[in-house]
Amino acid sequence: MENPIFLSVKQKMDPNSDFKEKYLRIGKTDAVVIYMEALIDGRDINDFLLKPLLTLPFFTEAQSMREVKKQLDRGEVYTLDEETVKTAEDAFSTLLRGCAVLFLSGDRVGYAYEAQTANVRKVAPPVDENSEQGGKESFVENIKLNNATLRKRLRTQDLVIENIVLGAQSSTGIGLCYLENTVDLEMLETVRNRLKSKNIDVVSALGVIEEAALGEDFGMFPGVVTTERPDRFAAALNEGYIGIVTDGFPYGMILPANILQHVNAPEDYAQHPAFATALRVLRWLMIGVTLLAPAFYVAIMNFHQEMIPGKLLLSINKAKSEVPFNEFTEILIMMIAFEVILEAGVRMPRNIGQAVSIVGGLIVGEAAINAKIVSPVVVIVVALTVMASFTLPGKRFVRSLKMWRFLHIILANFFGMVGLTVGIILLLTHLTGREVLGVPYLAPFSEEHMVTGDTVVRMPFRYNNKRPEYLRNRNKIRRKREEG
Amino acid sequence: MKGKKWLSSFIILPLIFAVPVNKQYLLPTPTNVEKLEMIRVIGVDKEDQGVKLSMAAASSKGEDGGGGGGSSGGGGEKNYVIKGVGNTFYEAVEDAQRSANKLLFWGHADIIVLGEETAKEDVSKYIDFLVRDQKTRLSARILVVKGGTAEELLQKKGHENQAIFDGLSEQLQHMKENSLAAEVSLADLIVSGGNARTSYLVPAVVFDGKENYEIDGAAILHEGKVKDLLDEKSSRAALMVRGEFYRSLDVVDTEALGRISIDVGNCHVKKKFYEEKGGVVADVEVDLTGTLAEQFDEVSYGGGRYTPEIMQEVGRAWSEGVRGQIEKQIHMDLVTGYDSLGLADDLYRKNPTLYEKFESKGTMTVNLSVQGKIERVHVLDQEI
Repeated sequence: MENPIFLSVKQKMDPNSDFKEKYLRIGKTDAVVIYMEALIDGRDINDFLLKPLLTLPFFTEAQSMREVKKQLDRGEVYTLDEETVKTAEDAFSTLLRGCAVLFLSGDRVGYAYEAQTANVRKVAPPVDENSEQGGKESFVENIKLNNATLRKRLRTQDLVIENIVLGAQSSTGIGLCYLENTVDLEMLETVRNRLKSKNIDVVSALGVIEEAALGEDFGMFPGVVTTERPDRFAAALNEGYIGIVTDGFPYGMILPANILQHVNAPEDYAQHPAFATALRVLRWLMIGVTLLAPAFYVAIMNFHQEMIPGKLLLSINKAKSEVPFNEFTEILIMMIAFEVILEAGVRMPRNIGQAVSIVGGLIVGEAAINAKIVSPVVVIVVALTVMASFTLPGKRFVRSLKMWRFLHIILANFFGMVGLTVGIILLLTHLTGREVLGVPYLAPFSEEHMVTGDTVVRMPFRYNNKRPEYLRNRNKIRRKREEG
Repeated sequence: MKGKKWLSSFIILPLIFAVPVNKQYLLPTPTNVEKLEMIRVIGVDKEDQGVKLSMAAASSKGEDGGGGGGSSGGGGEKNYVIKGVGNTFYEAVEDAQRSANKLLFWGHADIIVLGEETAKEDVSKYIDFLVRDQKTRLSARILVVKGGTAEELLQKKGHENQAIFDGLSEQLQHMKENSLAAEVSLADLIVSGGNARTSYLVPAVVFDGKENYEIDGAAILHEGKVKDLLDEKSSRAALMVRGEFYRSLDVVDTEALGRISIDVGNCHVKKKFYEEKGGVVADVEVDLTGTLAEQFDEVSYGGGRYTPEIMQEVGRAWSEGVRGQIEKQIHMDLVTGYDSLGLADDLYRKNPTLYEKFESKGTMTVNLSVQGKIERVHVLDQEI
């Protein structure tokens, strides 16, 4: 078999048990088809590649390699996706992507045919993001399927899904998605360049892509939104955001993120505006509760006892009389205990994790009260804090809030309300100074955006006809198509 | 970004140094809530040349006794009395602190009681001390014990052995609902010392039997001293003119219906000040509306007993009675120079120039008109 590319591939891949070669004779030309057994669908190779090569007269009657090659170049094989392999690197790349590669003896190139196995997880309802009155589809691990799902939701020629390969070892395919007539081209160029210039071995987690796309970003609040819901992803692209889908990960990534994306839920748009607004207000209040409730409790119990109604103070005092720890220690014990339970619930098998969280929470709370380690009020405060955090759709945002919560508790313990105020100022300073791809994190609350009516208040769609200004998108008015 | 960091530092540093500073510490020191003696009522009495403090402290454990005095508390809050004596207020506080197990905490002292003798002296020095304590509530309500001391009041067990704070709170609520006196807070009294114009009607508590007490009328606090004590009717008449009336029950003797009771539900007051013949004149119009408060089974409504004519007569008799009470108060104010009706204060707020004339002459002509109107018979939903 005289084909230099084939010989070098064979030399490299021969030790692999899943590397297969099928020798055949096409007319009077020797040929070989190589493929990775686990990555391709054998039936596709049989039906769409081998069968025409071995049965069609213009192949079987071919007198020379040139004649076979001529037929191949004319596309007589029954596959859509084919490319010419000119180097050994190309051959490796296509082979490992799930292609079968045909080499003709005496030729200097190969022919790769897409035959990726269809053995992928089917589109299923989202698991991590409950969809209420929304689509029941979620992203899967197969990027092509994800692209198809996305195309179904945005049937426009402006939707671009650029393919970028990342990872020297993993060669992970990444789809950089955007609406060409809407996205800010400068921002897109930045992301594209960063992704292409990133030197990494393996895309082992989405964090790798995030870090590659955002560059040096040390902010505590997440700079991207990850979602498993294509409807949310498509809606974000329509606003002018950039999306990234990654082969092997059932999540889409939306960037640049801002605070609103972590607080507003996709379901808000399925509700009556008044009801959606009420829910949003509730969520904002819950941010305050989950961030400040324990710190507020520590501050008023240690410094500002006059703020607590007299009867309540008496009852707290009575409940606390046999607890040996101060409020700060009590709160820390319970906060850490709850975090442990939550973390255990996540790591445990799904079917028992939830039960463990609930039962663990109840038992730890009850037992801690009975053992006089903490007072009942502390359990109430901590439970309220934890429950409030679950009302927020952005899980990573909540994790950031948790870190700030601990900082606030410490400040409140040493300086009371003054410490709490300082903590809030620090937080606001951090948030106001944070920018993701040049877009301020609190941009939705800028004066010019507030008038568009989709921040805390959700106005009816007829009033909400402008895309977010802060994304610097080129098509500012909704329902108006502009050529990019 | 650098600029923002500097900016935040400039915001944070002043905040830290703006913390209330006490003698020993730059930053505030936390105090565990268990180590606080939660004072609910502060009683102030005169003691020879000094001050005697009696403080009702709430107990979270419900124990009896403790501190320097007796205890009380039925089903609700329990409290015990801590006492302290000193030549000055501060010394009395220190004395009380020595007898208390925990740190005296005035952040929940919602009621301040002044003994009658103490109140007749200058109370502004006590008020001044209390106001300067950073934990004291400016909304704390003031009471004067008519014919007794604060210490005596704090020792009373009240109805069903009720804690003194609960008992007084209920009395104050009852007082508001029945317009027995007006609520006066510590914040109101801050200005009273240096204000010769305004008089306050401070609720007055009297002892009712051995262990009970009730609010009965008001004490006129003028220039930081209690000057006089008003009975219930006089206090109510003053509240009507002051525009602080809420509700009351009046008993009126009439020719047609005999002795009847009227539930007074509304009282509108119009005051107009003007100058006439070099003097200051105040037109005061008091419009009252009420209902007959007889019980259903005592009323023969079918026999034409409540005719419009009779109701007008009842209204006239009622108006006369109220008018008499208000005139009595006007007379008292003119004689004593107090402002129990609040007319001088109103004049000052509405027309300071005219007030200066009034102040120089020291007298005001008051044209009083009282109109009482019976709206409908209580209970029976029938038009008259």
